[in-house]
Amino acid sequence: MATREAGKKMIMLKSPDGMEFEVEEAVAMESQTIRKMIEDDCADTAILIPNINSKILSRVIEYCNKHVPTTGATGAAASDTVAPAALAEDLKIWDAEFIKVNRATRFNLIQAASYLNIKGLLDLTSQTTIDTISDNSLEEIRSFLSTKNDYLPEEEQTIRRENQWAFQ
Amino acid sequence: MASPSRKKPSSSSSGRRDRISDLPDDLLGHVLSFLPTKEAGRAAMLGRRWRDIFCSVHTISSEEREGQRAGDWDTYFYEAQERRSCSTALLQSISAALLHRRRRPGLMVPLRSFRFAFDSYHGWDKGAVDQWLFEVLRQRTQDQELHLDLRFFIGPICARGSVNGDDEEKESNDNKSWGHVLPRTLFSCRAVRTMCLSYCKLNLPEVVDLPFLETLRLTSIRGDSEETIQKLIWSCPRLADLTLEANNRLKKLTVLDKRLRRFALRCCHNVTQVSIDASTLRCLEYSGSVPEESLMSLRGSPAVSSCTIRFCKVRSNESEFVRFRKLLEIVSDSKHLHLHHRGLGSEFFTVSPLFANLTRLELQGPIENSDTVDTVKRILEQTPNLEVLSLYMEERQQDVEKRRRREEKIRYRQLYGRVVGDDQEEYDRSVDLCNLRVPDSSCFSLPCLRRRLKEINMVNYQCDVQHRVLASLLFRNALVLERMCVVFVKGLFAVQVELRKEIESWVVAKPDKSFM
Repeated sequence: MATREAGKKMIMLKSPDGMEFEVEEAVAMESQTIRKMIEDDCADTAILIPNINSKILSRVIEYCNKHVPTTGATGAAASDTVAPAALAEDLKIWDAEFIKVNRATRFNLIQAASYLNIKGLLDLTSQTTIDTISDNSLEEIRSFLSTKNDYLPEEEQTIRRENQWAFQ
Repeated sequence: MASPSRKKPSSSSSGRRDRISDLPDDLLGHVLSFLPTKEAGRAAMLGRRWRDIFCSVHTISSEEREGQRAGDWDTYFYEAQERRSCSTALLQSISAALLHRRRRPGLMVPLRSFRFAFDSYHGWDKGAVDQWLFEVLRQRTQDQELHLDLRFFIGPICARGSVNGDDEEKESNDNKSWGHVLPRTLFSCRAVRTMCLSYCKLNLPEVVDLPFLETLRLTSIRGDSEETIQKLIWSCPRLADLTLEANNRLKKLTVLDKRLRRFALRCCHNVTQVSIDASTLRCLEYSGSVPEESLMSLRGSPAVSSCTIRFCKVRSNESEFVRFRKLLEIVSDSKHLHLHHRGLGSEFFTVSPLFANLTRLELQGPIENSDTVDTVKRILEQTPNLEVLSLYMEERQQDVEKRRRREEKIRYRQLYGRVVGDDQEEYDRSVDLCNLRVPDSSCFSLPCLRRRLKEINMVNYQCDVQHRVLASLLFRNALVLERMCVVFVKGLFAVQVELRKEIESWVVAKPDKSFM
């Protein structure tokens, strides 16, 4: 809180494709990774965010912007359960709208959320992925995730036996 | 089997960069942690990449349905011969999942979340539960967070009928000797961040060491003396979120050395005094009887912003009104209030404190008669800065019975092929929509409606005189409305169209409308 009131310090974020984003410090601190950098005074010049292109990074910043006021000064400790219920409800609706993206973008968002250590975004993207695949057959899930069944038939039997508990 | 993916290698290679399989193990494990444990276990079948992925899954969760074990006498008989309980599926899936994780110790990520819920725990399950907890709790360091949710019974926490508030209180099972005794190591596991315990015995050790516990929920803790709960709470220096449900032994509670951010007291009917340091408290939730004035004492400078109040038993008499008012005074500074008004007549609000900061109000309960409409009016008189009003209209007692009768009729009709003119009946009622006699709408011309209220939500709106009266009074007077949303009860489409037209004729401002 204190940082925002103190004249809204701005942080420069750079994506590898050369775009620069200026964000409020409090927004950038939604990311635990950037928070650490700021706290260690490594954020005086622009912070280069590797592996995250400008398109994804701008989405991530959009998410942080929306979520910054509900997370209190203590960061991770102020979880959703502590936020006022009605506000949390609003955010949920916003989140649902935010995450209506294609698969590729979503997987990129997962990676970005993981690297930047933004718990809320990571949980949101993971949950959405799970919602789309649960209750489907293995074959449907495979095609949805564009992953290949590379087991030999006899191997498949072994794996199924190993994991028998999950099929009961 | 794998034909779909082999057929079009070009597409899979072009889309290679966004394949989920390219994510590292810990991320895949995190994603799969949102699945029920069994489904996550099936992921191994997807392909080689997924074979050992379950070791990276950090959540194990399995629960029975409520009532799954009730009246299950057949299995009981057979299982009893082997002295096993009937919760075989739950027992097997958790045990197998824990065992399976150990297969590749090098890959195993520390468990972050462990949840189970027995519909009804049996003493024979003790061995298994002890083993799980041993496995989960051993070799934890304090920087691996651990969230526990251990439920030994699923069911409503309060035996009091929330509907008619009869005075007869059922003797709860509290004094019975059954209940799982938790292992002592649980209370010295420094990794624990969240601990939710239901229907079990605590068995605290001499020294409780939970330095990082932030969230604690205790539901119907059995057999322990009231000091146990108090001692546990005192031993958690970082506690921020505390929920106490149906702990009948608890009489007094003092939390003065903590920075609680959320506190919920639900149906602990024997509590006579609660003192908490409220200087950082943001959310307060109370449910139970209308409390004595002395019950809740908030120390420090309370800045509660969100508050939920629900009563499971209400008597309409003078002393009750006074006590209710005192309770409202405590929370009158909050910005957000969720009030269950079932059983609260308008006389409860004859003298109510001013909610000067309130911007969001949620009222939940049945709109019984014109008195309830009056209640709503009286509440709105005291909320000059209200911006969002949500009404969750519950079914009235008589409607519940009517619905039950109708369902029986339908069943009867399905059985015997008789036609009962039910739909027709319902449609006929909708035709007399124009005959609604609305009281003079100027009586509802309240300051907050005229100047502040931006959003009205009505959930479970139906073709009912009181619902319509209330809606017309609100919409005709809301002059600066920006958004509105009405969710209809499932029913005939024709009726909904009529109702919708009617509402639109009332609205005076030009809000974004949505009907569902």
